[in-house]
Amino acid sequence: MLIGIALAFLGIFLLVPLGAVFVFAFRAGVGAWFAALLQPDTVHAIQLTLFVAVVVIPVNVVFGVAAAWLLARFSFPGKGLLLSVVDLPFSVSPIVAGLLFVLLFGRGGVFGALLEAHGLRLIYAVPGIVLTTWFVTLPFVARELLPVLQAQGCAEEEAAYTLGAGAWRTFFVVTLPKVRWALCYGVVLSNARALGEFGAVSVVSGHIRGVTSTMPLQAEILYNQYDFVGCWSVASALTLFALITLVIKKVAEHHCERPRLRRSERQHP
Amino acid sequence: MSVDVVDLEKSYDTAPIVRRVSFSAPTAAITALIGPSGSGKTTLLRLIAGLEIADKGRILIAGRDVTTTTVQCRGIGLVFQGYALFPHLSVEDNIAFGLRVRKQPREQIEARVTEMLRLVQLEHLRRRRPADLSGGQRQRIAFARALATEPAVLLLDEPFGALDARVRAELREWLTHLHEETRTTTLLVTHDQDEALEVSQHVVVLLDGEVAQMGAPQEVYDEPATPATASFLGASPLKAPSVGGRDAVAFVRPADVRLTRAPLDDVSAGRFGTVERSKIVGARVKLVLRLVQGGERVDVDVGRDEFEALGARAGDVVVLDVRNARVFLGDYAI
Repeated sequence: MLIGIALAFLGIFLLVPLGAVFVFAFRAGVGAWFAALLQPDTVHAIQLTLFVAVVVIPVNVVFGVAAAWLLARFSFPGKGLLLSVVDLPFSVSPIVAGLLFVLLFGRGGVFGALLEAHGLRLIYAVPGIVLTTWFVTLPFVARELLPVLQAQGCAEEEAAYTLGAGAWRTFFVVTLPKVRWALCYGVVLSNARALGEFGAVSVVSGHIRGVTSTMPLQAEILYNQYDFVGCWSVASALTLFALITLVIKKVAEHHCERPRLRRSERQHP
Repeated sequence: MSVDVVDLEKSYDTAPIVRRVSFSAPTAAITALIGPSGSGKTTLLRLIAGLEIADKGRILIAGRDVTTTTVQCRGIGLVFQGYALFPHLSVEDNIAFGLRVRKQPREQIEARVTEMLRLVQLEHLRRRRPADLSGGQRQRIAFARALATEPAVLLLDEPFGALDARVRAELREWLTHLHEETRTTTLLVTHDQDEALEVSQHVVVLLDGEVAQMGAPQEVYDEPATPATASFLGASPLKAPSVGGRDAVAFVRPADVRLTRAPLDDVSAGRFGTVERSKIVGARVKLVLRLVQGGERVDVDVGRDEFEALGARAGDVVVLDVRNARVFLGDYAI
């Protein structure tokens, strides 16, 4: 009964809208869908969104793993501060985050004059979008890893040390494999957020079509222009990316499980 | 390949955990570090391993001062209570880990892994993962992994603490055989005195971060040097007749008291006690007695047939015949 209610609820609130996106997108036919996506501005928005994700995710992985490892394994002065910094993007509204960057790096901002003197432009330009997206997605990897690292303790790492392994080898051969699922999940979450981030990016992008417009922004622009086919096409493409992300996660899981299966097969032929 | 610890000290946030500990663990023997929880024995082992840094004092392994040597270069093998095997690696890769770190040639590693698996009698588990193994098997693999790199010293931190009683008893015997084959100098940390007495050739008793006593297992058991040691080794204090005007306390183990039926006429002497309660525990019976004189509590542990022959019930008065009591003079908090 309870399961039935939960499933019905999920169906109504998750699957129906998901389906609706595709129904609306393909209402004018597959040809119209492709045509809408192949508009130069929309193509650029797709490229920009993917570019931002490709830049932001590796940075997040490196920073997230380092931060989680530091927080889980060591106690040092300023540990509480680092923890708060990691959590900051979660607690700050994306709009506020965007405004923060405008105030810091925009024209007339704290570092605005300095940047302008060197001919650099962050706000209303691609670097600003990368920076804000990075800020907004920063906690995911660290937050996914931290509880896993804390729960697992460090006996295996200590065992590796006693066997002669140095800190780097221990980290890559012992620590990282232990947390690979959490890392995978953190990357998926942070990727989803990077692709879909609207608020903060909206503030710093300046909505310049074909230049600083990411996919969510492009969807909004098209919607405001009553270009519903275009809008739904972009929305459905975004949804498609989200689904691809999920599939990648599943495939990765499958690949990581397989060597283990092979080994046990060898054991029982 | 002896281990010598000289005036070792370690504090956490000003709370001393190890206080001026000195002892020597002889070459090719098993030395047991025993003490109750919080006595600093695990910290001491971690100091010797190099996983903790000592505040003061020196550590020598095989005559070499390793006080400032990193854990990687101390030439030790460590076996943890919780196995600490690498869960994503096969048994084979776990054992090979230390050898790969040392960049040994492939064939040599293969041969050594085979040798180690034979040593711990688990050749058939070579390609399994730790998760597929029982607790006892995992710990034997952990021994194999620690011994593969031929450490000068094998350090065991409550190695059988996470196992159930039957497996623990098996592995104690197994460890004795293993040690006969490898003759690696071994330090065994345990809170279980039976384990220490059965497995080791040398015992160091740690109480409150200090060495309370050391010596051969039987010697430490029979002749505890202080009331605290006697108490840790299972004896309970009992007021004894004063000696030369000084108070005396006798430390008695429950198994060292024989009971006989009291004659009905005279119950005034000190060695009479009233049975307060009794509990049959398998082949043994645990009794709680109150001395008729003074009302002190005495715990007694007798065999089942001895108890049945005695036929005593709660409230009955019996005669206590105490053997092997260890008497200490002076004021001791009981």
